[in-house]
Amino acid sequence: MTPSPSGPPLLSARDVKVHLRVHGRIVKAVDGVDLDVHRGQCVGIVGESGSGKSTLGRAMTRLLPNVELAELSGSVTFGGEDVLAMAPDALRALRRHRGFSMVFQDPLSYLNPTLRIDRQLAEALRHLPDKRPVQQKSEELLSQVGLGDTARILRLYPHELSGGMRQRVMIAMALAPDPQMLVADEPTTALDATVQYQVIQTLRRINKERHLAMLIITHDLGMVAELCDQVYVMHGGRVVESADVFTLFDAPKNDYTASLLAAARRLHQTKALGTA
Amino acid sequence: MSNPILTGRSIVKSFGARGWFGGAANAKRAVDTIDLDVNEGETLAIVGESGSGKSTLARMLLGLSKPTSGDVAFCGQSIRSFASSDWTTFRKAVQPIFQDPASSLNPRMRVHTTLANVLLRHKLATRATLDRAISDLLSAVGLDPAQFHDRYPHQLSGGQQQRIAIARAMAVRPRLIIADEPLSSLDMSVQAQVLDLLVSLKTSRNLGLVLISHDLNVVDAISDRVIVMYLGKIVEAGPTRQVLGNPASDYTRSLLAAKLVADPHIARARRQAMDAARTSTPHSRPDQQGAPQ
Repeated sequence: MTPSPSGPPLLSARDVKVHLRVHGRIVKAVDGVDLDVHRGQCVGIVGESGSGKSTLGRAMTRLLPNVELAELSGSVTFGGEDVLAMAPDALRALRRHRGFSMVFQDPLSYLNPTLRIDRQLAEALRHLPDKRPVQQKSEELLSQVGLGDTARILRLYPHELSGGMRQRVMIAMALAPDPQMLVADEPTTALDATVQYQVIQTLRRINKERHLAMLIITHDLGMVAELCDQVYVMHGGRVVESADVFTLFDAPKNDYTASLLAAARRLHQTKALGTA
Repeated sequence: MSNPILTGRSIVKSFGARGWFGGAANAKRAVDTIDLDVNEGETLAIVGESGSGKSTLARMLLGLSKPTSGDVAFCGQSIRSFASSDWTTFRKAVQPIFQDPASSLNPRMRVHTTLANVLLRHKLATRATLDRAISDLLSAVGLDPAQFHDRYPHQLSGGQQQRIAIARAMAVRPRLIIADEPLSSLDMSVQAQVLDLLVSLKTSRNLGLVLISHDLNVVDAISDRVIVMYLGKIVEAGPTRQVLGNPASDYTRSLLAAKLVADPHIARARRQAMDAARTSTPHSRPDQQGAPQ
């Protein structure tokens, strides 16, 4: 069931350190992390606020602002290429086609409020070799993320969509360049429980159907249990434990992992209520 | 059966298009004819997805907005007939906790001032006893008084801010707290801590609690009774164990099916069952039919 990690990893991070300058002090946000993502695999990074999980995600996708950066070291390779040393145009090429895409927590602040959805999707589709009409490709993408009535949605502005629809539009935009890896940072935190579940199932379906590698950054172990194959637990900028999802939940080795699991079990009863 | 602290009778709240003569033809009923009782010392959960009207209902129960029709009564007295002294009594008995603690605390007030204002306003402390009372409140919500006394909200983490909001609500020794999504802006590990705090406060002080939430896990952990809302109406109500253990309505069942489970074995088993159900009953997806090919 779990895709066997065969061959070299798609994304490979070794001894990644991100030190930030905050009010004149150095904060070691990420302090020596090793991480691998294989093709078709769904990898979770969990940890509480401030554990460095988002910073790590941004460092590996080169989305960190340079201003605050005191040190960025280690190596990150994607498909064998060194991401951290990549020139801007090579990086751009990687993002435009067959590289990696990102999905963030709050879709409303990543969608342009003054443009209709069709314009925003067209932007993501512009540089692709696929020369079919943009309208057709856009509708295809929207139906892939489980949205119906695609022609109408394309004519709407972001504020006219519900939170769940916006997040699916974001996922559709992220899928437009036909990426090999999707990095999702708290993709369902802003959403309602029922919608959250639908978005998680959408992500899972995409992961399976497209054989797309995914990196899920979240504080919610319920989501990890639902979606991920491999899990890295971060605390204070370091990976304190990494294991496949079953081993991690059944037999956590680290005390911090155990305490996270206890908190999650307090909130997500392990029995599935009402489904007996 | 104890006497209800708060009762709502046929509460309706509609928003939007109101005609020239007050006709509400296009108005949308956010809350549509709801009856409910909140009893002393009881935890009542109101669940539903966004747009189900649960927060609008909470605002009316708190007296923060007026029902379009119907009535909210506090200990038998309609809040429509409240004099200003009645409002003071009401505020002392019924306190809110909101979702986002950062925006419910005054950013320019230190923790000390925030709590002192409440205590002095309701004459629960004098200048002489104030420091002691504030220390007690902070200790009760699990914060070290010496450390947090002089902080501003921005110097606190989300969980600490929510604890201050809880301390502020507890300051007047209320009989009832109405909490609108008190955990959903917090981290998972912090959620568990704040949940435990609410549970211990309600048992140690016989506090009534109305908990508005879309998270059935939280509802399950804390509430005695639950009301399930959908599009402004109550679709199901009853003891939590019964409603969540043996739901009568399809809507409640769909909410339960969307609940995340912190166990990969159960999660995989459930989705295999779902996949099996999907392949055995192929249903046409309207979005795929509509797509031009």
